[in-house]
Amino acid sequence: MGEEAKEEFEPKVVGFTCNWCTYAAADLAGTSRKKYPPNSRIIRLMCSARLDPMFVLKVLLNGADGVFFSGCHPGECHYIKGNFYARRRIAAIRTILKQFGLDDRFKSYWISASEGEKFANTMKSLTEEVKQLGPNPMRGKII
Amino acid sequence: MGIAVIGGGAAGITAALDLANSGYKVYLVEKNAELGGKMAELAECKVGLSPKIVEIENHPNIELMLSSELESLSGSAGNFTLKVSGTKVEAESVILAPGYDVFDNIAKSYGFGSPDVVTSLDFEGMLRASTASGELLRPSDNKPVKKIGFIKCVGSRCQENEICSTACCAYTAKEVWVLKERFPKMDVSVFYMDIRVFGKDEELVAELKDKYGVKYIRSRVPEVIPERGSLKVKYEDLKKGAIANLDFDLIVLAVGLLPSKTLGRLSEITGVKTDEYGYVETSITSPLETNVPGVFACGTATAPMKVRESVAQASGAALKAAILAQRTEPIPGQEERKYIEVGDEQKIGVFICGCEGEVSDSVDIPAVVEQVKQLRDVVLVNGDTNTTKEVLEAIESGIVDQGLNKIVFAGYTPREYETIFRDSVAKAGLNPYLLEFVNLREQCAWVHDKAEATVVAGDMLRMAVGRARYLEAIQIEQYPVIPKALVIGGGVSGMNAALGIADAGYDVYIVEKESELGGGLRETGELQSGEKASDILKDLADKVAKNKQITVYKNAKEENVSGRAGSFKANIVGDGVNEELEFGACVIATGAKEVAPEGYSGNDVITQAEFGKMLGGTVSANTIAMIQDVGVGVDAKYSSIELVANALKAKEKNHNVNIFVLYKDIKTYGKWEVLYKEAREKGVIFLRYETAPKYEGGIVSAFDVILNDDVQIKPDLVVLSTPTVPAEDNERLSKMFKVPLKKGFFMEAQERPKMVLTPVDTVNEGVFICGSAVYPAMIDECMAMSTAAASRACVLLAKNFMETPAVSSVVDELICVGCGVCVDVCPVEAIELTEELVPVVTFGVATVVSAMKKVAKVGDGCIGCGSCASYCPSSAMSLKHFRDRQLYAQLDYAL
Repeated sequence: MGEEAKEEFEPKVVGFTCNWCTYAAADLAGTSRKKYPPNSRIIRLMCSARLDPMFVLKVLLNGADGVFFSGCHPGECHYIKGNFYARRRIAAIRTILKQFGLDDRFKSYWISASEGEKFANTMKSLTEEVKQLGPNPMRGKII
Repeated sequence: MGIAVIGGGAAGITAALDLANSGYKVYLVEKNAELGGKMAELAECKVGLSPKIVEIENHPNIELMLSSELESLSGSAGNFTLKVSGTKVEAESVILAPGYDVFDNIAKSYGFGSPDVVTSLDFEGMLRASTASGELLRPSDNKPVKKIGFIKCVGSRCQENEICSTACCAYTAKEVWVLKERFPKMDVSVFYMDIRVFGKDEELVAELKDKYGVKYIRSRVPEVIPERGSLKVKYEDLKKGAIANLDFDLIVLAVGLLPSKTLGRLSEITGVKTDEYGYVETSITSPLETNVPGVFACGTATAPMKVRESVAQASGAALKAAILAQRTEPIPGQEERKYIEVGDEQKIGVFICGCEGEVSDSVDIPAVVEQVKQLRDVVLVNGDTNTTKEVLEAIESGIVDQGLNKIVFAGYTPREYETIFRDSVAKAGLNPYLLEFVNLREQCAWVHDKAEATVVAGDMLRMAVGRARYLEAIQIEQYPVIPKALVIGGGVSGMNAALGIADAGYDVYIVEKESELGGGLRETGELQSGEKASDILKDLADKVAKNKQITVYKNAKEENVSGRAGSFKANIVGDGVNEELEFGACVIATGAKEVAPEGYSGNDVITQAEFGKMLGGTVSANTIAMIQDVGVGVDAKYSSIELVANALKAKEKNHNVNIFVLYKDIKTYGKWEVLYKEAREKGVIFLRYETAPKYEGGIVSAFDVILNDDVQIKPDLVVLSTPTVPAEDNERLSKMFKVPLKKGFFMEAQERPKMVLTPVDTVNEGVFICGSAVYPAMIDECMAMSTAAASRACVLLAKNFMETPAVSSVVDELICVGCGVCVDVCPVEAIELTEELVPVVTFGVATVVSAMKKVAKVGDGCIGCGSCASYCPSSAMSLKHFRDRQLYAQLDYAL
């Protein structure tokens, strides 16, 4: 791939957020008109505990260049301890993704409802990082 | 008849909704052409208030009277006749919520008149404009602002307005927070005299100082000098003990609050008395009642206060007004609903709302409409609506006239508007869970540029349509509401909440862990206002004892709480009691606890509470040292007020007594500021410290930051502000009632960060909190909050039935292998393994027979987090509305 092509590469990212913290932070980023790159598509879950490792695998095998997950800070879960379960899963997901060489493309964050600025900044840095990684090698391959 | 609410700001809106939602006819009178009052002028607040305004506008029980004013009032409680801009209105009771006006007689010495010196209210307007443009520009030359100074206490705690405006410290903190969130590089300084914040605002100020790098400078600013291109602020540098200067691009004056200009006239019309500061006269034990029976006041009509206290008072006033009125209207959502059968044919209707330009300015809606039209199963795309009202009407007619069976709505955030839209869909006859939301405003239009936003919007709609195909009608079951309430804690707040609920006609159980009612107030002698605490307690306890609808359990505790809003169950266990109670709502009023201070010891060391009692007898000390904020527990909201009140009383007893107060911040909110002034006039010496004073060998030594020198006092008596800690039981109750704690105190539900419009509601519907269980509050606040909690509980108890939560887990018994993983990962222990006769597939053969098998069973307690669904190894467990196939459809279309 030539230099020029790499510059034009706009990655596609899918994100899973919990309704109470990160989805609210994304709303706050909106209310504060914090601009961020348009590369991520967000899927709202009620709690981060609903994050099934299969979702992450499916997104990456479908050809997304990146996938992220974000929930409430550990200890602040609306559902008492859902994000602790999510945290365990994330570790497991990483192990699986390593086998495919895709672990760099999976990011996880904890962003609370009042952190609109952090959400926007996270979207910026995430997009940059995924851009650096280049297109997902799985894109276009049918599994 | 009904209830007239005068004023359509945050307080009026809250009172009107509480009343209308429990079946009362409400006349909401607002002098302006729009609802929202001052709150709608605030940069962040309008967005939070908007859903409530939409609810009011669509409420069948509310008659909205905009651009109208109260002209006369006659009759008496239960039978008032009002004239509102020429229209006759009959009402059983009246709530006054006229709000406030800001101080406008600003001294020239603040440089006011220069375009770059603005009031906090003007600054809110600038913040809002900066939101759209992404830049904060200086009014004089339109150059970006880099350095801002905030000056507090302008037009409060001064000669023209003696009292403290209470809200300014907190609203300044919030403005600074919004500013720093939006412009992280902005250089911000705040000039203050005392930081009068408590609880969560205290954390916010600490965060601003530590995390956001905001400079808080303690100094009353004598002068702001506009110079070419900048504003010079003169202040006293306490560390150097000299006058210093700082230059700013923009100065924001945190102006004080005054009673609404209309209040004077309202007082003439209604006969409601006002106090010497122009606020409605109320008492510490009945903060919502005026001198005219049947006329109640709430919010900033009674004293300067924050939104949080205002809306609590409003809910409280709603209950007081409701008790005098007859319920005449149906309660919304309580009608029988039949939904149309949805067949196999998909008829998806997509509605894209311009949101009054908020979406249509960035998203090319016609282009998106064209894209969406191409999608499979989409039979209707409407991109012509611009307001909530228009889109709701369009959706309704789409369902009724065109037989749509799936709705995709694109516009506002689902977090605040989902309820309104679901309700509307249900009214039109479609199962409310066949609606899919696309957050086009908050997560697309407001965060991306025009070309990008249109692309993103197209993707988001494709994902939503994909998901909509797999949405399914969720059977919602109804269960009856048990018209009884449980109140935990028999202190002032608990008793008052119980009386409120009982007066509204419901049975109440009070559970008190000790052997008598009264709680923390039993330890108090005389209150700041001069009333004896024992009189207040006796009055409440007598009323409770006389009330036949209240049952009191003493020396008792609640255990095994189960159920949900409208239908809870708990065991009451205590001295010879073990009863199972059923109730529809619960009010937690566990109060706070005063503890012994640490770090100071000696026979002559006592607490303010003990000193207060001592003041009832003789005080022999000649020199008294009072030390504030001793570093244990939290600083109660009343602690400074208690301190100055006690100091004054001691001075009254013996004017020769020397009193030295060592303090960090004197927080005499509102009218209590006058006590602080009086104490200084009477010769009480206030010394400000930053590092904790020491008491050794009979000598108190501290470093006074104003004198910039060490001071030593040899007192006969050392009085420490009593540290307050959360009630011990909170931890246990938090788990049982699923209400989270913060620093040991119960947390209220919050729809938007740092905005509290539901101060007594919690994340667990049906469980309410009040009094010092939320933060150590003053008696008048406890009374208002507990009436508010009672009011919110009554809104729930007024319903005949509630609906089971739609988003909950279900198990496919055929697939479940009974491994029990779900039981382990359920955060609320709602799942159990049972052995049941269920259909099983044997040896992979398609014949289905029944057999005994271990299967998971989801109980009533399910809160819908979906933990079990994602952990289930055989995919037998799924979360309704968030099923695998629904989420897969969504993510398939994301790419």
